[in-house]
This record gives sequence, structure tokens and C-alpha cells, in this order.
Amino acid sequence: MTDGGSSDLTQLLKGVLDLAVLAILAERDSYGYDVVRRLRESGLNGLGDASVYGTLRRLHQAGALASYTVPSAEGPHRRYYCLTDDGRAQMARAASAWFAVSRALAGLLHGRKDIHR
Amino acid sequence: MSAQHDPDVVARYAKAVRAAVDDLGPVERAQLLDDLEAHLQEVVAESGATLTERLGPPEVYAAELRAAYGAPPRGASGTPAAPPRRPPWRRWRPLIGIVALVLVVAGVAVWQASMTAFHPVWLLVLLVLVGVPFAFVLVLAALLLGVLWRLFRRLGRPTGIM
Repeated sequence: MTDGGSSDLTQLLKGVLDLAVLAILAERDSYGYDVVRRLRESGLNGLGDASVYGTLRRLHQAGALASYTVPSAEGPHRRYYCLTDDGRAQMARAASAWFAVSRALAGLLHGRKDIHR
Repeated sequence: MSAQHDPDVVARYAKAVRAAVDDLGPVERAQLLDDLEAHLQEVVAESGATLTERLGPPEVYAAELRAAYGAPPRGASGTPAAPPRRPPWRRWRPLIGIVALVLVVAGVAVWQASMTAFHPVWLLVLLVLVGVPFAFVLVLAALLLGVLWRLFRRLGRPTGIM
């Protein structure tokens, strides 16, 4: 992928970062670096660590996430995040919007031969 | 032992990130910097690269953190400064001046009268008889001047559209 393509992907991901983080935490509770790692494992490589941490803290501040600390044998205590009811509702709304946009774009781009998948 | 395992690496990076958000309020700072060291230690433990190679310079990391959190960029925090508020006493400045003048005049009158050995009651009567109408006339004159000043300013203002 070119640098331009990487930049486009990063911009695109920023728009759906809240949804991606909420979806990760809907699977199971996680601490910050685990969220970063799981996002990358799911294929979202263009996200900076600080973007993920900033998003976690904003969602936490907004009440979409709750948190608790767990002692770690490897170092300092880890702050685990989990979804609240508000967070689940936010995820459902954002997912509906995402599917609507995704379907519309898929319809626009379907069958074009000048696009590499 | 590589530089990555130097505990000072994390401390130095964290210190620079803290400095890059020190313009924010204490609540925002606490939220943004919570478990910063834990994150940096995870990166150091997992990655073979330096913190700067992996995360970018601390200032860039801090800017990304602020943007994702929704805090304003450094140097653009808050709304533009409000124009300096006019002290409320300045509105009453003409009246304060008039009262001060009346007091000075009355004081001089009392002093002069005392030199002529008037009875104190007469001095008080003199003060009221002279001072109150004098103050009344001065207040009226000040109000009249204010009205005239506003009228002149309104007449002098251009009314057409350029």
C-alpha cells in the first residue's frame, strides 16, 4: 500500500474508532494496550496507540465505559475497561449507521474494474 | 542491555508527554495521563524498537492523545480571551466626582464658618441649604451633558451603506 493509501485508511479509521473500540470491549473487558493489540490483530493497523488511549478515556469520561484496576505481576496495575449500558446503546446506534454507510458504498463501488480489492 | 530496558527511558518519555499537556485542566490531565507509564512499559516490553520509533516523539503522542480525547490542540486551548470587563464603579465616576466636589465645597464652607464662630446648628443649616441645591444642579448638568453627548454622537454617525 502506498503512503497515500495508508493515510486514507488512517482517516477512515478515525471516523469509526469509537465503534471499533466499543466492539472490542463488547467481546470482553480489556486494558488499554490489550485493546491496541486486539484492534491490530483484527486488521486495523493504521491506528496510533495514543488515538486508542485517548478514545478509551473520552468514552470513559462520557459514561460509555466503566473501569476497574487489576494488579499485574509484570508491572504496574492495569486499568480494565468494560461497556456500560450507555456504551452498548451507543455501539448499537453506531453499528446501524456503519452498516447503512457500508451498504451504500458497496453499492456505489460494486463491479468497478478500476478498483483493486 | 539495550537502551529500551533503561527505566529512565519510560520516565523521560512520560515526563515529556506530561509537559505537552500541562496547559490542560487537572481533570483532563488526570484522565489523559492515567496509566501512561503502564502503556509505555508495555510497549518497551513488547517492541524491539525505541519508544520514539514505535510511538513517535512525545509531543506527537501527546497531540494524538489530545485529539482523540477531544481536548483542544496545545496553544489553542479555550475560547478567545473575553474583552476586559469595565469596572462597575466607572459608570458612577461622574456622580462620584460631583459628590466629592460638593463635600470639598461644604468642607471649605464649614471651615470658613467656623472661623466666624457661627453656631454649629447654623453651620449644618448652611451646609444643607447650599450643598443640596448645589449638588442637584450639578447632577442635572451632568445628565444634560450626557444626553447632549449621545445626541451629537448619533447625529455624527454615518447612516448610508458604503
